Amino acid sequence: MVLNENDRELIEACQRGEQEAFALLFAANKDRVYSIALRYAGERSAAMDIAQEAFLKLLSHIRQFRSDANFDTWLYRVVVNSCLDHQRRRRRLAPLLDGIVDAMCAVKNSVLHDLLREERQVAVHKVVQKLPPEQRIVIILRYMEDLSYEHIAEILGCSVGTVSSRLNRAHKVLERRLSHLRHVGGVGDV
Amino acid sequence: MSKGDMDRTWLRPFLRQGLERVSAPDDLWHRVVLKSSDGSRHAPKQLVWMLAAASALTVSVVAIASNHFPPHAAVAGLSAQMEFSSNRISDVRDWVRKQTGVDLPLNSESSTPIQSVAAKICGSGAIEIRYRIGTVNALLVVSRPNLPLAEHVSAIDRNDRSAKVVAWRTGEHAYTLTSEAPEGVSAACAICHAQSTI
Repeated sequence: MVLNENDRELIEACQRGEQEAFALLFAANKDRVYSIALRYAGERSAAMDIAQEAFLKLLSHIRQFRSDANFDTWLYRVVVNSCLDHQRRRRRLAPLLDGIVDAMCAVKNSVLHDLLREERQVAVHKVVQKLPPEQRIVIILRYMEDLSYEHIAEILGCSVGTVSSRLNRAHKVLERRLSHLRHVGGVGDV
Repeated sequence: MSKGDMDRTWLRPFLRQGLERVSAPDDLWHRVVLKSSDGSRHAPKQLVWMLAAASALTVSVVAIASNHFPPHAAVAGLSAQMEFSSNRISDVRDWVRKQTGVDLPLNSESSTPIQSVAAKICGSGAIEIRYRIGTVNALLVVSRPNLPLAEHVSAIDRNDRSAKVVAWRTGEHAYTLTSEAPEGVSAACAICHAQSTI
């Protein structure tokens, strides 16, 4: 995504160290950053650590960002690297059960009485959490952020073919593990 | 579209629904600011002051200089001026709630490192809580958001060179936390937060 004039001015204001600029940048991107972290890590406390780390990195390197570059790509890269760093530090392979509950309670419009929707969301979350990290991150970028294969490849620093391959493998796992929900209720009522 | 793609069309809405964006918790900003003010390796000094000055949302950081901060002034020395004091935070919380109807989210866990808590209700309606944590004296002022920050600062000895002030707004109230030493801000947060969450 090319920066519009307002985004460019905001980033330049952050680079100049203007007082309120970063607060505005934070407000504009906090949900995106936190959501990626939460879907990757599977629990609130880890997601908070990742999001905090990502924003601190963003701030400390904002002066190196070139205004002709793609800010979204840069932001995604920072968040993805924070997720992977966190994974390496904690070597966690599966989220805590209460982390899944926390994550699901945080989903917008998740009403307890809508059992079908909740069942689907919990199932998706559990299965995504079990994917290997490299497959998990491409699934999140593709389906939460609706990014193209090319954009994902640019963020991850790999080829489009690699992205396609990872998505393909992830899709097979997800299909197998979620197929029991395929004919339960209507997905169209999303 | 390949057969595989057609077969997967049912999967996409499931994944989109299951991976929706969520709202970031309100305290994420607070954590970012606190971490940067603690000298995070990611936060150069000028960044600390930039974040410290950012007040667009709810947070501002101010340093107050002074030659001398009266030892124990936050609690013992001024306890005669406070209206209620106790060694238990839960007592102070109950007293404040009875006096003002405001239920402050003070940390009443038995493992808290907070010692000697005192409270009073100022003429403006602001709630003043003074306490000691380890060797650090601290002051928490809770007020209505339309009171300017200077109203909070006036509760603190302006000659104190070593104090540090953090102010933020949550819900219906504005909070101002002052600690005796620059490194004391995080420790002073224990008045509301369990140590593991700071």
